[in-house]
Amino acid sequence: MKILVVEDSEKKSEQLLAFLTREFSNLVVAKRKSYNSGLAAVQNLSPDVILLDMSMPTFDRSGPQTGGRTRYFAGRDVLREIKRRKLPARAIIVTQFDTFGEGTQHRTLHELRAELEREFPGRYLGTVYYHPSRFDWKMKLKELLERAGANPKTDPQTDS
Amino acid sequence: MSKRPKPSSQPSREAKKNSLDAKRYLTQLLASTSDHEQVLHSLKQESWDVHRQVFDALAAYPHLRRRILGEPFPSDFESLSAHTLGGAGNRYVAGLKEELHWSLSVLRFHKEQVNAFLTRKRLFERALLARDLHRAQSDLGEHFSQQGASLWLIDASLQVASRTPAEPTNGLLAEHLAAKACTGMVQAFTLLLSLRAERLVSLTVFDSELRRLTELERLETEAPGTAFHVLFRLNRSSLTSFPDDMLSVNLDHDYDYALADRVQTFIKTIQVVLARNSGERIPFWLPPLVSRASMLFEDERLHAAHLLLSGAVWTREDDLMSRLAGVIERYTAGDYSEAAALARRSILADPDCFEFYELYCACLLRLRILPDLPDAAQAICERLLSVEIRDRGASDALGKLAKSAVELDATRFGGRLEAWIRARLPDSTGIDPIRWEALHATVPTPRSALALPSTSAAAKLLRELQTVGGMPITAELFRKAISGVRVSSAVAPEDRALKYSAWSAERRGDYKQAAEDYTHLINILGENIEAARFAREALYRCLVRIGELPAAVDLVITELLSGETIYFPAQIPPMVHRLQKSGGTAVWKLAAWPILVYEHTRASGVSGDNHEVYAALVLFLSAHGAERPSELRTSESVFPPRQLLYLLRFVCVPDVLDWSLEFTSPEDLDHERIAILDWLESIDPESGPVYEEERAQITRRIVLQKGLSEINRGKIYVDTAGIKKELGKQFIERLLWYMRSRPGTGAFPDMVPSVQVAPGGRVILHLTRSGIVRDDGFLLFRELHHEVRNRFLWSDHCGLDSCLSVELRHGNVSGQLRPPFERAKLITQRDATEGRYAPNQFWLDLATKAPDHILGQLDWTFASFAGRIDALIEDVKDCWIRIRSTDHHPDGLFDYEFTDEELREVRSRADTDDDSPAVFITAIFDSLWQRTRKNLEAVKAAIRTRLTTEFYAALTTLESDVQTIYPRLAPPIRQHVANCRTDLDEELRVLEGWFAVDEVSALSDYDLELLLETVLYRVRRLQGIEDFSPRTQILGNISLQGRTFRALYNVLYLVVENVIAHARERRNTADILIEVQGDTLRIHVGNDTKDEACLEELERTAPELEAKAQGGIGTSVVRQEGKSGYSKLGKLLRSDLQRAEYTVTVAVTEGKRFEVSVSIPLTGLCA
Repeated sequence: MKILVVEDSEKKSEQLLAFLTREFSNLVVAKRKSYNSGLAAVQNLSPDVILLDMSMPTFDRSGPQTGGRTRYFAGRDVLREIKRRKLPARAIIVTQFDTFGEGTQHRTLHELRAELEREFPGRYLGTVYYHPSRFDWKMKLKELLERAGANPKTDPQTDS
Repeated sequence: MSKRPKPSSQPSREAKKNSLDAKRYLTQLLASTSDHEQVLHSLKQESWDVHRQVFDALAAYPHLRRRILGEPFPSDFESLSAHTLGGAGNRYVAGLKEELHWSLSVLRFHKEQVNAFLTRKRLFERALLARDLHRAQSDLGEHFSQQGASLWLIDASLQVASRTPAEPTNGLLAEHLAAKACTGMVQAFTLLLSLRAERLVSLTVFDSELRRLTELERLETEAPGTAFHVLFRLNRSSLTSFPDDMLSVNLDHDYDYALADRVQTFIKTIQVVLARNSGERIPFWLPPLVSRASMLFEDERLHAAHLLLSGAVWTREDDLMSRLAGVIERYTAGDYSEAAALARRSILADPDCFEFYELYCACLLRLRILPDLPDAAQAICERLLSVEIRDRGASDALGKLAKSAVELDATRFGGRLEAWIRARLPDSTGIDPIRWEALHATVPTPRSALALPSTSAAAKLLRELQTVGGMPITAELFRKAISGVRVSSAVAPEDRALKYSAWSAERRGDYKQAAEDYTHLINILGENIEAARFAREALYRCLVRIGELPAAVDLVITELLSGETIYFPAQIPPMVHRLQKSGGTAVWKLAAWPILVYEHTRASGVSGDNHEVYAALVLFLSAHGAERPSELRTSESVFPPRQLLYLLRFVCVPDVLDWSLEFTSPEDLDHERIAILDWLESIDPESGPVYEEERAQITRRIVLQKGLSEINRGKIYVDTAGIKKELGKQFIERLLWYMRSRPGTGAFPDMVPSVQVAPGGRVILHLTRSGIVRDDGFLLFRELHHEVRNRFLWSDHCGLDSCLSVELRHGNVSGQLRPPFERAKLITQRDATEGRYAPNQFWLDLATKAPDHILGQLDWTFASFAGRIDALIEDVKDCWIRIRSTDHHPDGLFDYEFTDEELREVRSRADTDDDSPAVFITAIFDSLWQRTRKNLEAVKAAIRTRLTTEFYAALTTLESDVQTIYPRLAPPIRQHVANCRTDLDEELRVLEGWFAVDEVSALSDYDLELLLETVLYRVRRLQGIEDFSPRTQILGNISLQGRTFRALYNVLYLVVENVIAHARERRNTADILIEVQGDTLRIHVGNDTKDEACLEELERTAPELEAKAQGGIGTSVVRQEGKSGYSKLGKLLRSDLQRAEYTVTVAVTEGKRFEVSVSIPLTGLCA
């Protein structure tokens, strides 16, 4: 199964990759860091499942480059373009926020989840609330990935 | 929840019919099962008459009576819901029809008390809105003495508390009540109600907290159905998400609540069912049930529901209906002054009747005057008007009104206000705002007719209102409009008649006629822009409907170019969506198409969400075979000029274009926008300055980005050329000796060289036999290597440690790492003299209603956290970014200790056939650079792992501590900590980037403006002083070589930073002058010193500073932090810029003005 991780936080990205390697077999994982590079990878690599951060810069930050506009809903934005471009990928949102955006664009995680379910039936597989010092996100992510068809390792290494 | 049970044998039908048999019926029912729940379930299936008889007979069955009636009047707060069944045993829930029916029967049994409660509730609401809090409190006391505690009472008490400036505050009261509550549900409810009443808490936060709490499994486990009940009572946005079966469960749980709460649940259930069903979808059993309820109980909400189902007008005992009719009639007749005066008086008399506020504001719009009311009512009217005329504060006003509506949920005023807001926002709940408004009408008005399912029902209602309602003119206008009859000016003033005719045409789908009428109306209303706004909006609607897109867009553009906004009603989105799916190339080719979507998006209140605009723009560009808007310039003449102008100016902006994969970087995007601006300037020269300003902003950003890129790239630099010069003759002599003594040369392998300098400077080399057999060649190599290494590390002018001090330890690391915590409001500044952190006022303000001991704990927690963060930053500066040595810096990450084995390896690479000392020294430098790169990787790894982990751990602890100390801060602290983590990740990434070897500058030639802009940007950011705005001047611009940027940046930064440090609050008195005088660059910075500065002290200090800058005082200071800025300045000028001649003058004037001038010869620096 081909997995694309679109995540701008190095720390979170490392944790996700370590988790995927530890828990699943036969995964090919690619990593991108922004809306733009993430969407381009969806188009070029045709991943089966995307692990999408919700808030990211528009472009990759390289060196001191800022990466353009920060998108509070970059994950949703990628999903919208996937839908508009009629690409087949499905996505799991992995976020550490429980509210997003500002002003009229402000959303709670719950509202966003409902919006994604409504807007992307079949494409949106679920949301995982990530917290760097907690473990429950791993169970949730594992469950969603298994449901999406990923093969769990029969004897995964213990969590350190 | 269990399925419906079947008692073993049912009582006979005969037994139910006869009232005298009610006891027999109950006896039979109880004989069939011992489970009271089953008995109750069977009773719910029975008729109204049976219910009535059974209730009359219940006195003989105390246990059953208790189960059926619960405790409608809990004597005190502690016993509220104390009897809840909460999951014990089965509860058999009937269908919605049976449950509503049963609830009504129970309420009927307490008819007098229900009506007493409704009357008291009305009085309370009126007092609350009139800000007569004493009276409101007294009403609540009366209610409590008569009907005991209830959730409604809690809500009402918290409403009063939140409006009372004196203690007890809302939060304290809530905590007091929650502590007494005996069930988790009451606790949860109380805290949520408190949160809702809290002015400082936004609706979004409240909704989020509500959802989080009601998702708690514990709540569901402890009391099934409770979470739903809480949501049902408190969630404003999910009315349509309440399925019938859950509404039934909710009604079944009525048993758990006080009578006052049961009344509220019953009425709201009816409203929800009616809000989402109309016409044939209304259940057949509902009208008789609502009719019965409206006859039993004196509540407008029930009357309004009855009207919606039957068209029946209700009357009131007081004069409110006649007064409202009077205002409406005068308004319709065009007598706005009289209508406004009457409406104003009525607001004062009935502050809980929202219709008066609406009419008052409508009159003011016509009269173009401002409201004149007491405090609370004045604020409401100002917000209503702000929304109606769409002024700059409209969005904020709408938000505040929405909060008021939610706070006053379940009041007459709150419901109607919510309906008013729903009619002005795109609705995602599917609730028809007209029906919702009709459901919350205080009295029937002609507008209620619009909510009726048929024209005939509406006509019937209007006829009634003409006769008994006292609204003959308005009702007649509505009747004609609904019937599709044009209204003549004989019935009403011309503009009113025209408005109704236009509206009527629009309503029946004759958009062409409607457009004509609205156009005419706009002409009549003339200059009264506010009053004509609705007509222009309606005209736009009609133009879109009849496919006159260019005309519609032109109307929009006219509005927008006149500096106004336009409001799009709910019927436009379907039109846009239809065109999006099936518009076809004919539509998509129009420049009007993306403009329409842009306006639709903007007016829908989702202006930040422009994906649909982008999608429309892509279709438009594709239809013209283009990828980028600028490519259309060659076919400019194809597009209507005004539309093209609008498209390029407002739609083809970076926030829309950056959705496209066509652009690969922010710079690419900026260049496209600049191309568009160039084009705009050519077709709209009148607005040239506007485009020029935007272009200048983009250019400045690009330039600044270049500057920041330059200073944020690898900062690690060692001047090896300078070190080579420093090594001197003695080193070279020893090196030559070593080279001659290398293995294979056969010369003195066991002799130790020493050097003596004879008078006259002649160097004499002595060779001493050691007497010990050893690898003297290696020992000598090690000495040579150490000497080069030591200079590489410790040279004041050229070495690594001075680079680490100037580039990193001197403020930069702290300036990089502190801001994410500061921006998230998690840390404050530490007082330099007392060493204490300033109180974190942001969080203390959020917890302003907490008791003092809680505030004390919060203050301590935030101060400790700030201390922990600063200690970590200090560790990075003072322990990590150090050359490691066992004695001084054992934790330094720059490790230059070489084992003998490593040195032999280096030696093997250094020993080549080439006898040139330069080649040998370069080989040693290579080994040092290689080690440096390895060290830098270690630093980066430490930042990525240890530092990040430490910061994260500190944040997690803070989050947890704050939530424990004061749970009401849980939502904001979670959000701020998550924001901080993200922000911190980015700053750590930039910090990591600094730990790389400074390679050749990527910056091309630059000018002085870039230098100054970059310094000011960084000073503001690193020092956290966004308001720093010195007077700046650049005289004589020159172009400098890119390689000089970093050093000159550091020179200017040091001088400007000095201003911040010493001028403090007077920093904005600073002048910065950069001028070119012949071959010299002069930087002059002057500023007022702080008030307490001592003139004599400053005068004494000035020469010392000059001496430091000239390198006259202990040069090793350059590698220290603190009071070393001028030494660093000298190092930068001498070594980094390689200026042998430069001057730094420091002066203090009589007026205590501190002035620093740096003169730098430009030879070799200019491009």
